Order: sequence, then structure tokens, then C-alpha cells
Amino acid sequence: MDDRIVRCLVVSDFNSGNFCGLLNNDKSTPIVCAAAGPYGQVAELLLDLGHPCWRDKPEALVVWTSPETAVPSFHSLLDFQAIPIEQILEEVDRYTSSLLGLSGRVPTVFVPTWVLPPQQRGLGVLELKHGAGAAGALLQMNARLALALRETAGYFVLDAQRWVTSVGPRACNPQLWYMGKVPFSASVFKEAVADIKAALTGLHGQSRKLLLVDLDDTLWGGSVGEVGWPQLSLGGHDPIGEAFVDFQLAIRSLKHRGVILGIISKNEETVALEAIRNHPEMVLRLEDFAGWRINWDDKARNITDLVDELNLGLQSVVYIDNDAGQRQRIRGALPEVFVPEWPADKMLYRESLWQLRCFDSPVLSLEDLARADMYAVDRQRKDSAGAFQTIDEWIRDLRIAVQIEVLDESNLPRATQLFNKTNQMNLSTRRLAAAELWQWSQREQCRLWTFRVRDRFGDCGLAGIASLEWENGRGKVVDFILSCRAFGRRIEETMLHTLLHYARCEKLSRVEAVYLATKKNKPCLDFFQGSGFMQFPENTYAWDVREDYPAPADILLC
Amino acid sequence: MTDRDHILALIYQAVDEVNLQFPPGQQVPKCEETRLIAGALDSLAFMNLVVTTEEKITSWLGVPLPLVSSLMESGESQLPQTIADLAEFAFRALANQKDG
Repeated sequence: MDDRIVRCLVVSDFNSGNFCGLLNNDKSTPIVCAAAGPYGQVAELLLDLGHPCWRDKPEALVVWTSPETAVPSFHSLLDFQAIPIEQILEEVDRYTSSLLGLSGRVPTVFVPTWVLPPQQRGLGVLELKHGAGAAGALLQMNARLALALRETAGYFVLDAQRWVTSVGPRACNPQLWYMGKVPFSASVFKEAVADIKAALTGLHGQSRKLLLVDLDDTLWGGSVGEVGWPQLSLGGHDPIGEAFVDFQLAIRSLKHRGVILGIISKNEETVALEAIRNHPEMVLRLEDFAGWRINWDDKARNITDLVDELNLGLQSVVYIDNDAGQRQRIRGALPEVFVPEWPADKMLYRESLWQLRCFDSPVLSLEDLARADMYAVDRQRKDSAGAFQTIDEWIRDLRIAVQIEVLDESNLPRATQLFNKTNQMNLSTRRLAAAELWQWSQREQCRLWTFRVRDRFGDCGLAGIASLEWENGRGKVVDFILSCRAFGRRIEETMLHTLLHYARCEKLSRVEAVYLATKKNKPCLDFFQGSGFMQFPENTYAWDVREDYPAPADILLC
Repeated sequence: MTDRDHILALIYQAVDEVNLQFPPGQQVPKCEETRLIAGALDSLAFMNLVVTTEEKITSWLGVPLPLVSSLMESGESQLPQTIADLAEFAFRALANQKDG
């Protein structure tokens, strides 16, 4: 559970009191403490960082404007004056420049896209004609805004049109506008709050990454144990069968964006696996699943077992089951697992999955995209260990190569992700947004490295982070982080070797590591206790840098 | 349930929604005596309450009941002071609409 409170400033050209109220009262974590800047002063507030509203040093900023205020030419366009699109886009560029002026000062900046009220029909059939309609211009303005901000860490353009569309004709209530200068209904603001909270959850490394699904009447229609796999409702010229195929396709697309899949089902394993292997309309096959528990045991126990096997935490898990009783059981037994309500109508399964925000991630790194496959490879890797007598023999066989890099713009997104979501092998469990991590690494007498790991089974991607800060000839290991997928293969020793080698180059005399205990990082304590470092009170470990800390044999450093 | 009771229930639903914007401890009590003007609600919250109430009554009736504009046209001195007054105002507006 993330118990941090995120200070948030809302800068808008409308009365954002309703929005801030909803944001403050939303109980999902992280809790947000939002304050509204004086409305109608967007440009002034973005330029004047000495304004009192910046005094609390907000960690998140929402800049929400109407298109006609942020881009004055657009106001003229709405009045059907002939305004060249180039002039409008120049004003968009000026606006985005003022937003980018905050880069490095506010870790996270959310900018909802510009929208028009659904009732505003403009020129009707000409709305999307080049040079004529406001809707066409607005598409280009939003595209320009998104392009300008997409490369800057910590900036996120949010799709406000989806909020408005999902609410429908009541998205903009003129009464609220005339009486209170509030342009959107509470329903729109609730959508915005949900998206912003999901984004903050992802930024804190708390997005869900394991989807566990039931089988009968969840992944396919019918009970496979009773009707046999050829009679399952799945695909074919049947609306329900089609809906199940679409649901499976939606699940597979989650896998493609890095969500790990698993099965929890009360069934005969052989019967269920036969269906997955043989049914011609199955989209998801066994190789899509990182693991499964298909038996008649308690599902809560099965979930715990599988999560342990995958080396994940229950807070990573989403469980989907069509059976309300089972959902209730899992919620009661495993409160950390997110069990969404699920519709009885099978034709709503895909939409229900689409609406889940818990998988939202602020970045999609190469590691994310390959994560599900990495778990399958990891199963092979672990299986291979059984053929060796000692861990050294196994490591020799793995032919591990570790690529060491200093933090840079290319590895910052993935490093931030690993930094914020790793719990077990984590010395200090610091949590920083990308911009904060970058700023810290650029300080004098601070250094942060990333470690990419590959072996003969494949590429594990960026799996480790270690950082050092030093003063008066003494160094301190600030971060020591390793993905659970790379534990126990001497990568830990390789990281220490790197830190201490650098410390030697800097002519430091001693390097300390202070272990800060959390509920989950005991593996890190275990490692340091066996690392060869001298142990001191208060979980402090130290190494005399005059003494070499050798790199592990049989690991190639590059 | 009478029309008046139904309207009061809809106002309480509106209060629940408006309360989503207030911190715990500052939420509007759901009782007929709750003061709306110079009481529990600031002007933004009062506006939210009447707009949300109109939405809910309109949704219940299936036809618009222009509660907000009627309130605005009635002048500041006529604004409902309590939730009971608001319910009465809405009930009369509904009765007038039914009478045509």
C-alpha cells in the first residue's frame, strides 16, 4: 500500500473547486492533496514561479485549460473568422513552451487535451475541412500539444475527450458554467480523477502486473469438465462465442504490453489444459501463461502459491472470475488482490477489461513489452539449474553478461520503473519520479549505474540499479536494487564490484551501505549479511575500499 | 411514496454527490433543517446541490424541470434557506408543471 500523500496544484482557466474536491476525497492510493490555483491566471502562474501557489512545492501539476483561452486565435475561429491554422499552431507552441518551462521544477505535469462541448456542432459537415472547422483545428492543436510534450520526462497529456464522450450530453452543463464558471459536470471530473490517480499509481510503481483468470464461463462459455472442450462456447457463428474470443484477444493485448497472465481454476488440470491446447478458437495458449493452478483446492491458496512461484507480490495481482461467490471469497481472504466486479453478460467482458485502469503504466519499456515472455524463459532457466551440482557450474553454463551503464535519457524510463516497483532486493526503497531520479543522479559526488543482464536463455533487460554518493573520502551506497528475476546469479556481487571499483577510482577509503528494513526487503539484508562486508550496528555494512572486491568469475562485464 | 417524499430522497442523493467534494467533517448533513444559505454550503456547493437536484428530478420525471433557472429568476430573497425549503420549491415547480 502506498501511503504517501501527493501534493498537487491545479492550474486552470475555470473554477476547479469541484475537481479539486473530488481529487482530494478520492480514497484510492496515493492520496492526493490538491489545491486550486487562482483561476483565469494560467499564463501568469506558469511564468511566475515565485507566486505563492508554488510555495508548497507541488509534486504533481494539472494544467487544464479551454482551447479558446490557451490559444486566442482559436476563439476567433469559433467566431467563424478566417484564421490560418499556422497562426493557431504557433500559439499552441507558445503555450507548450510555457508548460515546458516547468520541466525539472515539478516532477509530474498532467495536461488534459482541449475539448469542445458535445453540443457545439460548429460548421457541421465542414467541421473537419482543412482551414474551416473548429473540430479539425482542435485535432491538430491537440496533436501539436502531445508531440511537443511527449519527449519530456514527467509530462503526460491526458485524453479529456474520452472523459467527455464517456459521460455523454451531460458532460458540459451550461448551468454550472453560468453560475459557477465550472465547464464540466462532476461525472467528467470523476473520470479525470480516476485517470490521474491511475497515472500516479503507475508513477509510484504500483500498477498491477499479473492478471489471473478463471476458465469456465470466464475465458470460455460452459464448464469444460461437463461438456468437454469441443462443446465449449468459444468463437464460431455465435454472439456469446465471439464475445469470449474478443475477451481473450483483449487479454492477449494486455500481455503484449507487459502484463503477466496466469490461470486459477477449479477443474481437472488435464481436461482444462487439453481444451487450451486443442480448441481451435482459443486465442490464448499455454505459452501465453506464466503459470497456472488448475485443481480443486481453495482458490485463495492457489493464488498465493502461484504469486510466490512467480516471485511477485499480491499487490500486483488482478483476479477475474465470473462467480460472485468466488470474487467475494478472494476479496475477503486476500485484500491486496484487486478483484473487479464482473458483469453477468458475457458480451460485456471485453469492455469491462478495457475499463480497468489498474494496469496503467507511465512508460512502456522494452522490458515491459517482453516481460511475459521473460517469465516463460525464466521457467526454463530455473529448470536448467537442476542439471548442475553447484551454483558456480550453473552460472558458468548460463554464460551471463552484464552491461553496465550510467543513467542517461535512454534508460531513465525503465530505470525509474524498476526503481519504484522493486521491493525485495532493495536496500533503501527510495521512491522517486523520473525527473527527481535524474536530478539526483546529476548531482556532484553522486553516481547511478544501471545493469542489463543477458544469458544464453535470453535478455533479462535492465534488471539492476546501484548508486553511490560520497563526501570527504567516504562513500555510501544509496540504492541497491535488483529485479527478482535476476536474484541469485551473482549479479548482486557484480553490482557491488562495480560500486567499489568506482569508489577506488575516486580514492575513497570506505563505502557503507545502510539497510532500511521494509516488510518486503529481507532478501536484501540476507544478501548483505553474506556479502563479505563488515557488519556494524543499525544495519550498517561497510567495505574498506583499499581491499579489492573481485568481480564474480564467469560473468562477462561489458 | 408521495411526490414530496420522492423529491426529498432525490435531494439527499444530490447531497451525497456534492459531499464527494468536501473533506470528512465538513460534509452537508442529510436532514431537512440543514441550512443552505449562510450555513453548511458555500456558493459553489449550493450551486452544485441545486444543479444536481435538477438533474436527478429530470431523470426521475423523464422531462426537464427547470429548477435552477426558476430559482435564479425568483431573486436572492426567495432562495430556499434549508433543504426542506428546496424540497418545497421543487415540489411546487413540479405541481405547476403538472398543472400546465
